[in-house]
Amino acid sequence: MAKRKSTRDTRTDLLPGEEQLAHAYRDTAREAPPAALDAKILAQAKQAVATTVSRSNFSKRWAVPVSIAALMVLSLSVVLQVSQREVPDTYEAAPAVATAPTPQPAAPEPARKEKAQPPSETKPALTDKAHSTGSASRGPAVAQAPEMRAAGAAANDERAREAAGAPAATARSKGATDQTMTMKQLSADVTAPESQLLLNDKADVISVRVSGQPGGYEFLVGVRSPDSGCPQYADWWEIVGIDGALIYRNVLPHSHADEQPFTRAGGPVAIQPDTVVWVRAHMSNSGYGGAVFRGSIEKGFSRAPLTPDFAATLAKQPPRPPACQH
Amino acid sequence: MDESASDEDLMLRYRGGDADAFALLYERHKGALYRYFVRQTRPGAVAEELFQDVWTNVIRARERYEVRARFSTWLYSLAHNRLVDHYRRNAAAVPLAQDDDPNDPILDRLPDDDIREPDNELERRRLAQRLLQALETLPETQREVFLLREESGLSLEEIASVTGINLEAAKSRLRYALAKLRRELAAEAEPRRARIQD
Repeated sequence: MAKRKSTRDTRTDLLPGEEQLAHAYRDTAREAPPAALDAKILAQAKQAVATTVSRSNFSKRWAVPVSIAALMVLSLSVVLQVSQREVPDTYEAAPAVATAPTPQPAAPEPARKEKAQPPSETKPALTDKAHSTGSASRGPAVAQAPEMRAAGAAANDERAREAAGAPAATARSKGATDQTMTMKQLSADVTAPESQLLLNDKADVISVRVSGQPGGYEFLVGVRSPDSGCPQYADWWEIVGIDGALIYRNVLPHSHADEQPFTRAGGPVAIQPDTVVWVRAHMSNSGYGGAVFRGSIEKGFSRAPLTPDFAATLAKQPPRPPACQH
Repeated sequence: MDESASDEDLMLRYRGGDADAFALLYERHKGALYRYFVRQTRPGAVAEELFQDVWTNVIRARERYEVRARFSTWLYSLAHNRLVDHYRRNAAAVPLAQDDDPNDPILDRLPDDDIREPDNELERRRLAQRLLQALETLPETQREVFLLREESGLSLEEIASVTGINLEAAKSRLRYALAKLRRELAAEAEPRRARIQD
């Protein structure tokens, strides 16, 4: 094996007795990351700068029209919100999207203590990447569409929150509520009491953020799971088509018992802006069945009901996690 | 791609959208950074995860990158912070604190040439293996300084900057690490030498 290239030839502050040990160490320490990991990181790096170029072009062409459209939508949403305050309690939410698979009875909805945010403060899932990373980078061009949609839908949010907190809230109205969730609200879910989020021993998807461009998106998925070590831990999150086909799976090789909730990035995910997908997590011992997100790049993602047996056989498909190591 | 370009130039090119520059930068540093984590975490999957997190941070922070120090210093600052974060979240981890005693007699062994140069390939391999084992027994802080030194090629001043300690503390930790490693290797060599003399 070739000798490692030294990176320390220019140093002038060697301590007595150091050189001999350094030589012995460099002579033997030669581990390198797996090729698959190399490929993943390089693809991520390439995707990131491709997104920047795409975003730049988009901004130049669409900055003015989008600003005008956003202003119009914001104005409309304020009007709607004001008028909704005067609507009596006989309000009924809009129907859920018709393509949703057989919905299970609605899971207990977290009590929403936050006061509804004004539409002008709402942020789309796709542009909130910096929320978890502290990065100044902004979301991709496609993020503009959900922002407008979220703003328009926000007028219903206050009423939807009231409905979600009521025991009599139907699965139908819950579905409609979830479809109009904004990123601001999803972030609020992360900070809600754990007892309101965890569905027994399942792994819940609690946030979905996306960046990238058609055919190669990066997903940043937040998961909350009752990990306790190898016998019980969230061993992957995945993206599944509405037809039940596995599109992408991010394998988690070990327990995150001491890091809850946690967020992991994965991709590139080969879907188009209008591809509707499910984002769900899997437990090593109890399989699927936790909170799931549904949506598309152009319309955003929100929590939606999904039966645990939906495409359950995917659990046997590769890639599967290696033997848990702790 | 100009392979003689500095790390800092490559990072600036990547900031400007040149993915090939990142690939070269990654190639230069991937092995050392990977080993930095492999030597300090168990199991191997954790090292891979932390390794990927650091590069993800490099990618995400590219637009804010400015040349204020060597790229290596920045890269390992990210790595150190991620490692500390991992220790804090991992209940089983040893805290990053170490009381160094400047009067510890072990430091007197440093200048000695008590480790014999290996005579052959077998002996060389044996010594190397023993070194890696001895490295695992070092306290976290001393092991990290040794790895920053040998893997990243940082100066003591840069190590102090990366780990948030002063220069003297960095120097002290490295001296301890070297002294303990040498003691372990010398102890290993002694019985075999004795057998030969018999």
